[in-house]
Amino acid sequence: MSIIELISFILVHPLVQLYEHITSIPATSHLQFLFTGLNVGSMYGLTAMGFTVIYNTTGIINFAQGEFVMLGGILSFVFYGLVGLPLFPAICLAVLATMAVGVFIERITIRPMKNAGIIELIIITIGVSIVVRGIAQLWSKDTFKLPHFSGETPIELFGAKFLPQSLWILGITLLLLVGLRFFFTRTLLGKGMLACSYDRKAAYLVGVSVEKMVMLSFGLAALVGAVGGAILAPITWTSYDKGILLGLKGFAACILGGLGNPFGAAAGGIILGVLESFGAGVISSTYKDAFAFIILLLLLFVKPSGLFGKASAERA
Amino acid sequence: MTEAARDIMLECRGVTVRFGGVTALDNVNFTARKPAVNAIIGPNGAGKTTLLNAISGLVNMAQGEILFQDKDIAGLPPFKRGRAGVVRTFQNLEVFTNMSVLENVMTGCHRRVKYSVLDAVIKTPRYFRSERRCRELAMEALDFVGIAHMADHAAAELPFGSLRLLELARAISSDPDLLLLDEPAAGLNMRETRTLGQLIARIRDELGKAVVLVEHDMDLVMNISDTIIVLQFGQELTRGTPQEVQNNPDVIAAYLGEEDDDDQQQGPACRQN
Amino acid sequence: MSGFRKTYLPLVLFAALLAIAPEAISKDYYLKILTLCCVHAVIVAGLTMLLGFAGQISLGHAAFYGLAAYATARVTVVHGLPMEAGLGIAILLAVVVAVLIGIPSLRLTGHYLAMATLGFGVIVYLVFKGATEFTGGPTGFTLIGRIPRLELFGYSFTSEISYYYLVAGVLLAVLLLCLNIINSRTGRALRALHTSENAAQTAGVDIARYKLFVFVLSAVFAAIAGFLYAHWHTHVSPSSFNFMVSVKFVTMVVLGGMTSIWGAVVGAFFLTILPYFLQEFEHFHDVEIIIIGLILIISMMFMPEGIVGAVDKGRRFVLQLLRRSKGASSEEPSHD
Repeated sequence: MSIIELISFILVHPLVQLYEHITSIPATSHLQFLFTGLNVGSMYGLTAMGFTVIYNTTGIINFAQGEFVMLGGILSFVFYGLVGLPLFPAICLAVLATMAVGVFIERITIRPMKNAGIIELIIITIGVSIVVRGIAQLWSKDTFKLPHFSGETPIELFGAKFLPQSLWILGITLLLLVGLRFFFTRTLLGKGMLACSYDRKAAYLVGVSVEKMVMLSFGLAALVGAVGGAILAPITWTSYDKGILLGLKGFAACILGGLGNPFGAAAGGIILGVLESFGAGVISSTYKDAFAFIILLLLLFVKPSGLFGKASAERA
Repeated sequence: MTEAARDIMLECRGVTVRFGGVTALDNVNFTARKPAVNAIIGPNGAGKTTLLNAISGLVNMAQGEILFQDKDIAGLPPFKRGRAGVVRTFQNLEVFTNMSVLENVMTGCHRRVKYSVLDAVIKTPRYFRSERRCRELAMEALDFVGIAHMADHAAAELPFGSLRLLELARAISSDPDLLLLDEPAAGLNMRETRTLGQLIARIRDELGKAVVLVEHDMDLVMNISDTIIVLQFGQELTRGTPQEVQNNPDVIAAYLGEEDDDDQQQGPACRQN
Repeated sequence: MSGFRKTYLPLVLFAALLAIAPEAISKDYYLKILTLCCVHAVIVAGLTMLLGFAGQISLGHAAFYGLAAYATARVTVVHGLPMEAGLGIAILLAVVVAVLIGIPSLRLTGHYLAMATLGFGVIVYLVFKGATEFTGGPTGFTLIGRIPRLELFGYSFTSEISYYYLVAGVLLAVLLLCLNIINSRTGRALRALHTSENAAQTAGVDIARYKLFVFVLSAVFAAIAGFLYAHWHTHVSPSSFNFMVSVKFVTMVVLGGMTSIWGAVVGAFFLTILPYFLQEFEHFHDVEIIIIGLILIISMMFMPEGIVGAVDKGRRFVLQLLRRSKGASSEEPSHD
């Protein structure tokens, strides 16, 4: 245990210093960091929710989840900027297209691998993510921008500014979260999906079509990811390589909130986003991307079941 | 041989195991002697496998003592119990499918034939000596269970019945002081079960081991056991010789009468994993 | 001893192949590719031990590769110490970091272990990129100085051919080490904990210790490779050690075949040479990552034992055909 404590100390000590540092920064900056963090955090939360949907049905961590987000952004641009559709139909079309990709991926790479172990599935989904990214890269390496949904005039609140798009992001994240919650707890389809993860055989025996549920879960995860990609594209812009880091951080958020818990995933995302935003603002923007992973490692080493998870997650 | 003439190898006192809110084992006492077959029976979910898991350290106890050769091993991790001589087989076969049959059994010798990584890397005489010894011991064990002719086969290619024997050989090759068998007859046909019964008896009589047997096949249990403890709902229902247990009205009511004979082959209690 | 021959004959053949390879190829350019193949094979051999034999995934091995490369760069360039010190410190650093990361990580399984090693890799990569005063930042170590060509124990490996023979020798030594470990009590313990941790434990295998052992071993191999790479390439930059590089190493393991140490050699050589073949094509760099991804998916789906496994299966099939056609005429075809 002492070595773990030592590592924790090495990793926690800077956090203590961070706290002292934070208290010396004016309050408006804090608020600004908070807004930015909430924004980015919703993004991580959305990605994390996508992970959760598939994990809950199949027990698989889909390393290609970040690519769904990327596709959502890029395809929205394709339908809007290149095809010339109005923004919202373009986004809807992009989401549908991404869902089709998700279902297609499941059909050709996951379904034939029914009896594969965790390592095999991790490797396959990593392969899928690389291929998707590669194809996007082949199409274009440029960065694209979508217009803000309701203008770019910043809204001021207690001295800190945020864009109206942030409200859209927060709102839609919340909507999706409630929607998923409703879907999994109240609808027969959602319950069927959950049943698959608890016990495939039993689910099959009571008449749940496991194959359909798994396919649906990939479609649903793609939907959540693509919506996220589309609503964030106006702020962060979008390019072929947006998915990888987002995917990794989304997974970090997932583990932070406890694998398999959509609310935990969303909360984990928000926490991660806020911490990262403060970290970047207060400590160093160079290591902005590292904070998520340091928190992740700490958590994995100390409490792998996540902040809101059950104790048995380690054996999953 | 009378009870008293046999050495006590294992003594479990007040073993209690909880999974969340469910009490899987409640204050169970259990003694295993050598040379003897000490059977644990009971309906599905009675806590038989949980008791084996507690003895081998795969589940944590909430309370209780596990005395192995008069030493409390309750605080030891599973591998240390294995090293101390508490060796087991598994109900859902845990054969090393990425090895040959011989290598599987040689892995069983892990606690018995020791040398360092360095010996292996620079191939010291000790390495060659130990490997030869390990191979001999493994072949002996394979011979004992009667599948020596399959030594070079890939373990994954063996038929189910042979896999059971392979696991048994792996356990024997480690020269255990306490051998825990978790439903070794599950999935075997009648002929195979009979052979297995003879094998277990030989492990007791020829090798002089203390065997703990968890089994659903009542014929097997009644034929080869020296003592039997009956568990129900995680508690001891009764204990005694096969005759005493068979004639105990509680047992007949709670266990034998209740369960359909056809169910016996299904074996696994719901909660073992 | 036929088992003995079966184990070491391929090593002897491979050594002979490596020895005559420079005769067969004319240009220094090809020799460089071959050297890089060997460097990669050293890392991948370690990763095969970890992933293929012990069943523990690491998505962050490029970090150890990079840590060693940067460590020796700093030790030799900034502190002016001899390269033997660089090697020592690189290995020591790998061991210390592998132990510190390994102890808590290896308690985790499946996704959690994948994520922990991945997170570790990303953090280290970001430090390479961010700690400009130590590493030269995104531009690489040239900002601080040029890493000297290798000079060990009074012998300087300035020519391509001398470097090639050194790296090939190291690879052979690493392979011999792996083979000896595989065919021992330790190797069996590793394979045992791969298939069933419970069964391994009850056989007396201290699984935590063995996992850590193989993790550290693979980190040390990566460190040796990083050291060799730094003093050969004389320049290191963060992009050589990012997440994709870690994935590439895993791809090499998977493609070559996880269940044989020779898979490491096959995978490393194949995937290192491949880009040079593809260079002829216009969009080659974009295509490369698609190909890597497809290789990962396809080999995992259709040949889970990789090229080596597939070849082995084919060989056995042919042998069987031969046996059948010869029928009663010959009693037993010769082994191997």
